[in-house]
Amino acid sequence: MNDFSNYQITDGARFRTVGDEGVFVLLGSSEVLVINGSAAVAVDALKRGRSPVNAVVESFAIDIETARADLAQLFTQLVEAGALTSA
Amino acid sequence: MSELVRILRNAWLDKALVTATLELTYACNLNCVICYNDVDLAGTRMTRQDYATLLDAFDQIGLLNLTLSGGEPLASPDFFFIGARARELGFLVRIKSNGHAIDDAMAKKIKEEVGPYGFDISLHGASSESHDAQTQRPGSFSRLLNNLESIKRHGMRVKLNAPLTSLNEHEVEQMYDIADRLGFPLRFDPQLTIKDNGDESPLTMAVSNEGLAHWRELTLERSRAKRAASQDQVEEAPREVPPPRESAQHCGAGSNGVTIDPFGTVLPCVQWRKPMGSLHTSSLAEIWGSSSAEDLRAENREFKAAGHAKGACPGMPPRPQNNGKQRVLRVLP
Repeated sequence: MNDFSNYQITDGARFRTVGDEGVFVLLGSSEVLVINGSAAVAVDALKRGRSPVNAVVESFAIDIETARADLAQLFTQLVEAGALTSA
Repeated sequence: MSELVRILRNAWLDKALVTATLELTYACNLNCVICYNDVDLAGTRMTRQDYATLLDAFDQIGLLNLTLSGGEPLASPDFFFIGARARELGFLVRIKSNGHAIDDAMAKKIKEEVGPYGFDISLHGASSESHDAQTQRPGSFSRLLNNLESIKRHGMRVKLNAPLTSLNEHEVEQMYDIADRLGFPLRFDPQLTIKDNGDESPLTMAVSNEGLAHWRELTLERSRAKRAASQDQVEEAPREVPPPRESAQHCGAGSNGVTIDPFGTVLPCVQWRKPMGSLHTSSLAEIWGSSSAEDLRAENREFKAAGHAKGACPGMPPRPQNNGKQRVLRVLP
């Protein structure tokens, strides 16, 4: 079962939730990635060492399998962008 | 970057706190003739626990930008404690320093433990004569140049800030050369301010009219050349955005931004030092929602309604400098 605990925010990125959105800033390039509110809930949970799947399921009307599938896609995109790493 | 600008604009309109400056101490290892800090200011210092509580409050509120300032922030024994916690919480940390203590080992430690977005470092001249005269610390110029190289070697971002004064006005070109050689942006500030205790002595160092004109000419020329040469420079993550036209506030002081002095006094900004409350008696959330904070925001709106120019500051009314010979509008940081 994938709880995404192998993902983490890269050393060279900072993540904050501002208003209803999430903001990644990549320190080296100053590149900014903005993610929507539900994605921000998941990344914020990851940052705090909590389960992103549970955070999304608890916050939104979404079943666990859909949450896992969406998070797999989101986290892959964030790894590709250099915001997350996967062990 | 435009996405971040949009978010910061929304934060402005929502009066959401996104930017904070912590003045960790007024102690400093230099003794700049133009410094505005009141080094004799006394009070009950913030403890580490106070800072931990404050950073958690910033986290809850949704803060993005955190500047660690002073005095010299590295002179605070709490610098690394605060910096490391700020890193954990994901704030974009900027360190406003004179750079004097940031040798290679210190640069490495800061990168590893704080991981800042960048540094704002003061450059006071292009020679020992001018720089050291302004800092009143012999050897500070050559030490700063070495330290800037160290910071660069460790891959950290620096913005150089130069107060333009009568001591360095003849070295503007050479100061730009230093910045170019290091690959760091340099921004001059011709606006000197009185000390926070009302002492007007810094104003005696104000740039002359000729020096000001020369700086303007050179800076505009460089700006034109830069625009023509490069379209793809790395843009900095903005700390703040210009006031949206639809905002009734003149500036973000006290509504998007806040400054906390070493004694827990909450101020609208570094320049506008009208206390909103004390963290020794109230939480940040209580102060933020207090009537004194709302009165201050009303004052900010009245300042705008009175038709003040964009660069004017509610905390620093325009005043003559250089014995009344000139007046300079403030450029927002």
